[in-house]
Amino acid sequence: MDVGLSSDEVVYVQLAPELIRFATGLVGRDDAPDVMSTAFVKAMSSPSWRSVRDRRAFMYRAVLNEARTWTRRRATRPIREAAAAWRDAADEPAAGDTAVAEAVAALSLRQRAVIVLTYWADLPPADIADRLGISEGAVRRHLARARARLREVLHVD
Amino acid sequence: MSTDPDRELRQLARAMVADDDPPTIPPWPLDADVEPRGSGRMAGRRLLVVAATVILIVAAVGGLVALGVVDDAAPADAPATSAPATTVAPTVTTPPTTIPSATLVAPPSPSTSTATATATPSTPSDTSGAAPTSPSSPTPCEGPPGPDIAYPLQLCDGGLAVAVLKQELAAKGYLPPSTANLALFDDQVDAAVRAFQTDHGLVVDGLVGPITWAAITADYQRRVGDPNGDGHLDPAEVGIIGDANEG
Repeated sequence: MDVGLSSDEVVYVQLAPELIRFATGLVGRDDAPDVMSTAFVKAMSSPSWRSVRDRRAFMYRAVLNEARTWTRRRATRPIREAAAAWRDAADEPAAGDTAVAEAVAALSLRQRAVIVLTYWADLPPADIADRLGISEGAVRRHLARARARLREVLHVD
Repeated sequence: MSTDPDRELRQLARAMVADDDPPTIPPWPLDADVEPRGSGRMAGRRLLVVAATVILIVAAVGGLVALGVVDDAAPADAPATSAPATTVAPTVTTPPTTIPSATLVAPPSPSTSTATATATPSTPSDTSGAAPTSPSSPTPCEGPPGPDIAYPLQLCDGGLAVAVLKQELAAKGYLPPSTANLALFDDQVDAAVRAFQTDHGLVVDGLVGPITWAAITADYQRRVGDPNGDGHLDPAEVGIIGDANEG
């Protein structure tokens, strides 16, 4: 699963397309580019970056962590107001579909990650566990809770 | 399995990742200030080594500060740090260009180096001998990303507190509006902090300790309040706000 490339740029070019989807699943379309690029900048400037074996997994975790930071920031409305002036258009994630917005709002970040990796990336729990740095059991639990939550919110059955 | 529940979930997941219309991927040089390491931008390896050493010492001093030594000229209201022993002189402008690199590089072991670093500069105000993190040339952040929440926030730190810092600096006109690397304390932020410190009669060292933090984020604190009620909204608390939303 190692990308196995030396140059940071090549790593970026290879991983950015899937990671931006992943980030979009976590924080919405508007924040995804910022979350992803910040995660990359941080990861690549960290001393452990060069010794990382599985950079893909490392980056998935980095994006998830960054999304957490971002979500906290979002939760602080005053900061968002301050930031609003900087941002171009939409303040809220322009999910378009309200059902999707509801679903996203209903899920925790981990649950979103697991849903996206399961149902969009089609990964088995073991691979997801690998990528997110959690146990397979945890993946299954997150998945089960996410499903239950979605059933409530969206009446997905 | 009568109605294939997965089908809907697949649709949902596709919508979540905006599969039909994914956001544009930011172009590669992610930020001019933080280039990937190894870009031959600086004059030579020696400079890099010096920069790395300075950063190491900054980190070490940061560690000292975290352990209870002071950073700002701030005896009064340091919430986390209790022993502001050597602090005076509000306005001491650290000469930006003269990096005492020789003195800084000299000590081999990290423990002694911090000792000398704090000891050698004869300016009483500034415990951070590491202050001259050359504002002239862009410093690649090679060291470990600093702690998000511990004083002082400084070059190459990251995280929510830094994001708040940057927003407040931008609101005050010390930083240009930008969404890039919102959570990274880069050279631009360093310069902005120094400018702010200069304008407000603080010790100009580019380090954001309790005093500088309180000054820059005063408006923010007024808006947000004080979650733990100790009279300050310190960087650590910034991370607390909004945590309730997460499972």
